[in-house]
Amino acid sequence: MKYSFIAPRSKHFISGEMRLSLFFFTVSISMVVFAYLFLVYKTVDFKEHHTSFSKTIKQLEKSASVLEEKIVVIEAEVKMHEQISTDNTVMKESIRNLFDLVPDQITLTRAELNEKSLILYGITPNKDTYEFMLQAPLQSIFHRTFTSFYPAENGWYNFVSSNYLDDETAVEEAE
Amino acid sequence: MLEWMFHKIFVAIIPVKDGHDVVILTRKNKKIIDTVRRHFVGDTPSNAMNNFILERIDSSPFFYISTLNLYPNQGAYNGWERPSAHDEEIAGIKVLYRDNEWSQYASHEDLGRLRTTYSGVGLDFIFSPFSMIEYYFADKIKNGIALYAYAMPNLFSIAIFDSGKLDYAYHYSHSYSDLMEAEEDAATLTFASPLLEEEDDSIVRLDDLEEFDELDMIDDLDLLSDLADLDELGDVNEFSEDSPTLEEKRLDKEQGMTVIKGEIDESNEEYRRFEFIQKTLARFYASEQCRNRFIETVCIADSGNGGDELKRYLEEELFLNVLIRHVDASEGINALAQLEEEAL
Repeated sequence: MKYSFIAPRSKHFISGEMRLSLFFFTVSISMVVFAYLFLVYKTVDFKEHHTSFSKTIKQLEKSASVLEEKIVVIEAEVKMHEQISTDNTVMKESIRNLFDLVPDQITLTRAELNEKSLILYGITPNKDTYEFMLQAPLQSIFHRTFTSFYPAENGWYNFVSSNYLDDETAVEEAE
Repeated sequence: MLEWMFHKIFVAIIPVKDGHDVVILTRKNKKIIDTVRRHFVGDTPSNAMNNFILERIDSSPFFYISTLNLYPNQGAYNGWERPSAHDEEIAGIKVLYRDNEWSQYASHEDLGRLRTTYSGVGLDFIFSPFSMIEYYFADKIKNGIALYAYAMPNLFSIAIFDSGKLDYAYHYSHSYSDLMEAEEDAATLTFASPLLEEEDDSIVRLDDLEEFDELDMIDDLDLLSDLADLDELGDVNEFSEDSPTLEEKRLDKEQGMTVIKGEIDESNEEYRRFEFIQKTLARFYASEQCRNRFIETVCIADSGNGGDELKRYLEEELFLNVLIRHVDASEGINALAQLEEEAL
């Protein structure tokens, strides 16, 4: 106190009824504010979730495309595997057939099997045995067959049989 | 926080001779919107006064009721060393420190008495007459040495300020006739004053006024001596039909007496104030605080209508420069209350 010997009484500008009314107003307003804030929070939360889901979707789409590419590669690999497997089977069958073709009198010393050619090295007791027993089936299989003989020390003949498949077969196979 | 929504009501209660003056000032946002003044008769606050105040303050929770401490046990001194609460308790006084320059004090008992007196409405502020001096002469007290006084009927407070610093103070209240007697031994200033002596001789006492009743009769006798003939008696006012009756004359005389008494009371009061100032100056010059300084100026805030005679006394007897401000005590009290309220 600067001038007065006594301090003023405290001033209550809110009466009891006013205080009660204000209490209810405050409660009501705070509830509305709370609801508003809750909705705002939820909206923001939803937006955040939406954004994160969008990101996840994009990432998943990216990984799906990667997976699709991988699937294509794997499918190609599977096809290749099947092809190789088939080719191997065919090769195995061809080799088996080839060995089945070779009669007991003729001995093969070497065989070179390519995709479109078969070169056989061996010993035959005579040319006729070779021509009747091996060359005939080979000619039925290959388009072109060339055989050359040269005598061995024991009187038998070493032979080299070159057999080729033409491109037409390849074209047909392609078709 | 919500104060700006409400009016602020400042109630000043001023005890006067025959009752209480109540001034209610209503303010909103520093703008005065209403001032009501009412006088209530009675030494103690009446129910009518309490009801009037309570009715007025009911419109706003921010009301401040103030009054002036008129009791004798108060004063001011030129120190500001803060006594301990214990010391204040022992001395039974409440001390107010003003700008670390000087202090005011009042008796706890008187403050309690004031609270009890106005318990019907309650009090928010109790001011000292020295605060009133400070308020009314805020523009002067920082200038140089001068004597300042605040005068109300039956109250006279005197303070000597030098450049805003209090040097000497004395408070004369209700029973200052007793105080005067007690101070007879105090040395008075004795300037040669033929005028004052003449006036002392010519002071009219109330007892003498009784003799004035005879004056009318003397006038009548003079009138009768002028009559040449008894026939002209009809012309004499006393016998004319329009002349006032004896009862009317008596009433007129009583009214005249009251006016004269009032004037004499006023004159006595002013002379008494002159004597207070004279004694205060004498004591100041005799004290250590004087330090060879001489007071040339006296500033008086008078809440009454007089002051001319006092001014004449001071100028002619003590050769002082006198400034008298006629002030409204309620305005000062409400102004101090507003200052206090702003500082809250």
